[in-house]
Amino acid sequence: MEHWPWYVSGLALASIPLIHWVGLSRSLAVSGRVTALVNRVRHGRADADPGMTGDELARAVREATIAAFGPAAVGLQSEAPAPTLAKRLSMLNHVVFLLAMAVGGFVSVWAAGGWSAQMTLRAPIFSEIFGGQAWVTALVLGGGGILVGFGTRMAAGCTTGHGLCGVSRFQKGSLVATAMFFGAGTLVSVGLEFLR
Amino acid sequence: MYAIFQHSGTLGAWKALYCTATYTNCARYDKVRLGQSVPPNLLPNGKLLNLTPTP
Repeated sequence: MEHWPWYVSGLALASIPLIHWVGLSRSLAVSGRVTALVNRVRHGRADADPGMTGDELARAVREATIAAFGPAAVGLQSEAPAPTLAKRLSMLNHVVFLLAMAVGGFVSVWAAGGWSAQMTLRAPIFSEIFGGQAWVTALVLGGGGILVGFGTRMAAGCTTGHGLCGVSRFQKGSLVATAMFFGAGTLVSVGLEFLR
Repeated sequence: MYAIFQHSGTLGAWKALYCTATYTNCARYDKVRLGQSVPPNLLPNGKLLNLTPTP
């Protein structure tokens, strides 16, 4: 199977968050969408859109702040115009996005002529270390998925949110998170080489 | 909600009391810690923000 040239992959990775930003006025966040879906399943519509404009919400927040802390707590910025609130994405939007990711991956590998159903990872080192048994593969990948999910929640973002969007905006937290998961990935890769 | 707090100049007071200091007193944090749903209008002090638009 032919891999995309690095410059095509790089441009694709750069353009997707941009298209997402232009189209939906929000940063691309894959784990955020998964979280939104899980929260909807767990909590129903409790986090639904409050249905107020930014100005109305700002006024309500100012009143609540004065009630809690007194007028001195509301600074000079209190009369600043409220931001335009991005409309909450629908659940259908999240589902379509996540399905499109899977379909896009399939189309990409199919177009490259390398699609085939298999029960192990494509990299030979995986089979060399863990063998080719399906249950072992499922166990290792499932365990890896749980670890990735745990790390994603702990870091409040995934490779897309931190690595693509956060780093490009020079967000300190994203720079640290990306350095950590890339560093950890590199260390594990090097470590696996020793197990061969 | 966070964007509204940030732009309405009210964030400092809430942040000082419920984020950087005794964050365990934050009602929103408490809900998340217990795995419960966090109402969008729940304030850190446990009171609910009035979301009824004023005419």
